[in-house]
Amino acid sequence: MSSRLGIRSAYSLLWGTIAVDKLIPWLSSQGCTAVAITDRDNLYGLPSFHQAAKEAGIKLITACELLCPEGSLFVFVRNDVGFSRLCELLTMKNQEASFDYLSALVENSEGLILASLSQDILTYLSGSVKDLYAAISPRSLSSIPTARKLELPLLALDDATFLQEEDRAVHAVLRSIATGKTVGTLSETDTEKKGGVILLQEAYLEAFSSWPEALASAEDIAEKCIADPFSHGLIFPEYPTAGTTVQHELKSRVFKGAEKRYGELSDAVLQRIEYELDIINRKGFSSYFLVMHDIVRMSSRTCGRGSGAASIVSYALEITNVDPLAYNLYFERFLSMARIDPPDIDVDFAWDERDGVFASVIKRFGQDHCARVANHNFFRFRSAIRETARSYGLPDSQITRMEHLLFTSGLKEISDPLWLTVCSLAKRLVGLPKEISMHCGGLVITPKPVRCYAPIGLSRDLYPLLAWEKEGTEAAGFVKIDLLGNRSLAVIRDALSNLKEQGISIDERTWHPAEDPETIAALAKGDSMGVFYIESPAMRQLQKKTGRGDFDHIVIHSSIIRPAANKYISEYVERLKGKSWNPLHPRLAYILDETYGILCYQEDVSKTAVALADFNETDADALRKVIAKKAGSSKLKRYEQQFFDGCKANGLEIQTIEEIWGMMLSFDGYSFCKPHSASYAMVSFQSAYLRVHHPASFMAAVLSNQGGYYRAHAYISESRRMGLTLVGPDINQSRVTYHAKGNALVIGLMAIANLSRSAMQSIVRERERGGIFSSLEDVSSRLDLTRDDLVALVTAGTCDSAAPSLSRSEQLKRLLITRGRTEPYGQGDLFQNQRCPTPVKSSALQPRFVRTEDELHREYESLGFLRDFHPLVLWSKFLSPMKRVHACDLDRFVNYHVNLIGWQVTQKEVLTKDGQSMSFVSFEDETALYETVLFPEMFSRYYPLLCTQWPLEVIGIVKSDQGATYVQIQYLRQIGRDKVLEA
Amino acid sequence: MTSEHASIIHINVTDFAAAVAVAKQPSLSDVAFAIAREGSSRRVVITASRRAFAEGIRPGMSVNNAVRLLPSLVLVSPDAPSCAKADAAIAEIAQQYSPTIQCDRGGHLYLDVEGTTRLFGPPVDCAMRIRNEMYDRLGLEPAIAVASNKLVSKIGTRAIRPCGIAQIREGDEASFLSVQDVSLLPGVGPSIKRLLTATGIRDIGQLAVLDDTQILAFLGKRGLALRNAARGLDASSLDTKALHQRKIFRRVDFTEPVCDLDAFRSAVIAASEDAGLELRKEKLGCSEVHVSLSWSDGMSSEASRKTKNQWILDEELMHASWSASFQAMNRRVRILAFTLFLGALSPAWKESDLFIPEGPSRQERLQAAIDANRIRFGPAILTHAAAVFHV
Repeated sequence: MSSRLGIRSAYSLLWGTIAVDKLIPWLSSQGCTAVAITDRDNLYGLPSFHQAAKEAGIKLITACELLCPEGSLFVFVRNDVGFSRLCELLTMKNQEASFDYLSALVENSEGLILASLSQDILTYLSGSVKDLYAAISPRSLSSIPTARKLELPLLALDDATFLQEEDRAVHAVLRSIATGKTVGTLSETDTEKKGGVILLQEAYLEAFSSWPEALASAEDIAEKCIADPFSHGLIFPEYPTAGTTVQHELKSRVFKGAEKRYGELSDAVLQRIEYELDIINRKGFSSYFLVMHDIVRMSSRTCGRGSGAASIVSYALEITNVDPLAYNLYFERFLSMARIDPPDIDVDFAWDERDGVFASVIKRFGQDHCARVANHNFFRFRSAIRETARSYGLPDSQITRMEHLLFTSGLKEISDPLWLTVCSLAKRLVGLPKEISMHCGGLVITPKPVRCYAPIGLSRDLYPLLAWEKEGTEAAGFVKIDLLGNRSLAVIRDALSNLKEQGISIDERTWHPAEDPETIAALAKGDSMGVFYIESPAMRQLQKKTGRGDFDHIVIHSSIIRPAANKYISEYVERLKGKSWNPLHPRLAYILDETYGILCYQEDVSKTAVALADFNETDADALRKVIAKKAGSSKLKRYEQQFFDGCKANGLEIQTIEEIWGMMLSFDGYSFCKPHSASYAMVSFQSAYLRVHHPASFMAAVLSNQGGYYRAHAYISESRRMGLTLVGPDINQSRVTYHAKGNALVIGLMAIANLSRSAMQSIVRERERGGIFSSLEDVSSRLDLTRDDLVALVTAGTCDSAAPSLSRSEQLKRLLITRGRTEPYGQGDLFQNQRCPTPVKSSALQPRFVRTEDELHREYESLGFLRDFHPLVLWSKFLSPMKRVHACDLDRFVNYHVNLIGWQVTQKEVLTKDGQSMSFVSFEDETALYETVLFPEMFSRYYPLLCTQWPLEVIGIVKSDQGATYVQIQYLRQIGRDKVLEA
Repeated sequence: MTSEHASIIHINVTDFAAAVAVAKQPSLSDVAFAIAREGSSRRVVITASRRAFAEGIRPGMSVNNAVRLLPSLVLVSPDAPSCAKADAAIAEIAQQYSPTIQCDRGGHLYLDVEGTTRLFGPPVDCAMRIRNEMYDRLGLEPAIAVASNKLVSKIGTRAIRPCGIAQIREGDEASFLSVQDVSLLPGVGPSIKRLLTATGIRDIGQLAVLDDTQILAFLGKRGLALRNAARGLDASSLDTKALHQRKIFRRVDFTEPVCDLDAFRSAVIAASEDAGLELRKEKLGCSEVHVSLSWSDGMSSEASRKTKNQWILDEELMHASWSASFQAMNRRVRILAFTLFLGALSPAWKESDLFIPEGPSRQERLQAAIDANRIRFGPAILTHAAAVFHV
């Protein structure tokens, strides 16, 4: 037996330097059989230590170093009660920095073994706690006299922070980051004292040779302490069901929901439900589904995403919205008896409802029973370089230059000795944890207070925050729920609500947008601006190329359009259009036929590994996860070897194996499983249906919810192209957000720059209360607005309807002058003349003022677009003499050079294989939107022109890529810029 | 102060930092360049040269964007010492013509030349001489305006910038101002400018003729002051106070930027000892110690310590300046220079203590002995051991 206690890992954030993947092998090499990793005031690393120690056959003692004003107190967890107590103590410390561990331990230290090097702590705790040891370490024997005096047993501790003395330099960098000083200006108290290097086993035994009882105590503690604090199984709340079991309750809800979804239940549906319920019940997840059912009912609409969308139970409970039978989704991707991990249902909520959902969930299950999942952020090479260089006092500009040389220009050798030091230290920082933050949607719910299972901190938004990240949370047995925000759900919600106001109701039970021919036809043409997930130029071009807008193809397109799969997209389009192809291997034929022989979904990776290399289900799923995490790690290397070996054993040629492996690697970073893609496609279809059949309500909702791929002016132009009438912003019609009235899109007050939120609300409130504003005087008398608000309103033309015959400057003057004169109703001076009602002049009789160019410029500044015209009208005097092709006619000029007018809509810069920048730019003119490409030479030449919003003369050659037209730019020029500057 | 004649001269060096850079390095005059801090990763343009401005480079623009917009753009680090020197040199030139000057930093200076006609001729001639001297001696070409008050002269320089001379004769103020763009009026920021433009007011003259009701409605009570300004009314006098505030300061420029605590500490001690010696030689004490650290990324940080009593001895000064330095030393960047200011100077005094006999204390006697040696053999002859590192 050899037990090493009191080693700090890198999870002692910005203090420790030892990564767990180095520590455990080192301990193994020293013949260590048990270890207590004692991080400072936290258990952040516990799940990963546990996993690594288990793999190495070392017993991990759950332990922690508690930092007290008098010194450090080492705590070892003896049993589950002790683990809960330790979690409670750390939670209290996280919530209140001044929390006193010692008095809390005097009150209750059950299940914990305590040890300290500090004489003060030992004196304080002696006699008050049960298991107390006087610790000695290779660098401190000072507790021996106290131990003798208090008759405490001695305990050998490593009290180590470094694997080797050289780690001290890394420690200095970490401390410099934590304290905001440079490594040279750190004071003694900022850093670890002398020593602290973990000793080789022989030296360790030698160091304690005079105190064999201390070594024996270490063995004793290792013997007494539990090895696995996470052995309690899955943590999820019991769902209280009055007079019935959770299984029956779930079954009843599922059948009720299925009847709502399907009407009469077919044999296939019944069979699938029974099959799924059987697995869910046997795995004990009935409560989980009931809880999820309760949560989704807290919001107006949801989109269950991820593999959970493959479940008919989820579909029946309205957690997801895709029929897994209709779209051939495999339940086993989500849950099977073979898989050991808990189910993972991610649910999207409307972006503006998500915080409310979190609040409702926390209220429903109790503040103490819920916690958000953390993110563990690690140093990557780039951030490590930057932080290390800063620690050495190098200015940011120098760091940026070096970053550019290292990461863009590919500098191989560095000659500057300081930078050599920085780079060498930075390499050693890579992979060390840097900070803890909050995962965007992860939540756990527990039967007992969460602090009984894990230490809880507080996020910046004051949510209770679990100590562990996604994997650690799962390893600790929590069943995690992901609640995420989605703007398009709010778009659909708002559009439907706007339609309802106008007397149009869509019954969602009978709404099948994916079967609507007009919607399918529109998507096949790439008419999808504003439509969820498929509105980007790249996606619209793909739609045009394929000419397919049906659900099955949208599911494929949503998945294949990931960044790393570009080269497979053209192959996909060609095969879809009839190019003959053979499966990469006959065994893949049945797996990849629906995606034309191309790996498209995450599960294709697993299926391929099973089919070609005889992976078992667990390994195949793990391979998928490793690839998805961009892990260029040893794990991936191991799987690569396993895959290649397996394929070779099955007689595959090396070239084919490499080709397939390359395709599998294209799933790194960002990829979808089919159920997820199908779930997204359903939201896409719902929004596309609204766009086709109720364009005004749809575009109003898109503009109101903001955050789409394009800026507001692009959606406004698209609305015009869709034949909508634009109205407002108008003090008598506009609401805060955009809304539709028939075919008219009424611009919301939110579009006006510099108009305060309170002004918007008071306008709408007052109009609802007192009717429309008949004149400017009426506006002044009924609204109490600031000068800035009035300026914002008038420049955007909001008051035109109240005074159509006046110029806007005159409108503003009147508003400002009459503003101060009027008093709110009932508040006037007793002796003041009674206010005479202002004579109302019917706006219909008043001549309409023709807006001047100056007014239009100001309107554009205020709104970012023009109410009645395309912004190009502001440059009309320069545009009218130009000979040009209109964008709507572009298809007729394929392979011709053309002159166009370009008003920039969006731009995407990408890097070529050689690391050069090029760009895809979407332009529009008054007639249509069109796509262009600037190859590196053109991009570097014309980049400055793309930095400002100014109409451009676009000269280029029109090309067609499998039916999608684009312009390859050869020349750009700002129109009329010289003349404007001269003026 | 109002003047019966137009005798207030305003000197305005447009884009001062850029102008100083050109004066220092004339080859920049034909180059589009921008002043931007060297160190930070998200640098912004502080000042653009005239050529750069013409190419669309604007203050506040990120350097990355500016360089992509104009790849030939040359970036120049801000040179605060040179700007301070240029400010001082302009003041020195101005002081030759009038003792009544108001030095605003950044190339702005007012002087009142009333009563100097016999010496230097009419104010406009005086302005011309100053302009010529600034150009010949400093290489700076300012905009200069002569008017009857500070306000009109300031609008005058704004109206003619980047350079030239304007004279607004007494009585001509209204006609001069009436045609000027309203944004030239001090106090008209983006928000007021937006309001005035939206009401159709573009020239100062349009603002000047508004009646009380209108101006109050448009701009509130502040509008009355703005209208007075639009009418050229300004009764403020030149603020000459800043010249007479006394401080003892020492600056240590490190040969290489340092991030070493010992090297820095030795500099703090050396500066404290040196400044302290001057303080005691003049029989002064100080109640404020102010330190300023210049970092290698062009930024600076400051901190100070104050006492209700006085600091006189090295030990006291070192303690106060180290404490302030430690507070200022809050960045992960190397230190380029350290400046120590001893402020709130007053004659040295000692509060008597009922129970301590009169006469110098042991510390004071030691300090006196150290000072005597330093005065006799030079300041470096005797220093605190911790400062030896730097020496």
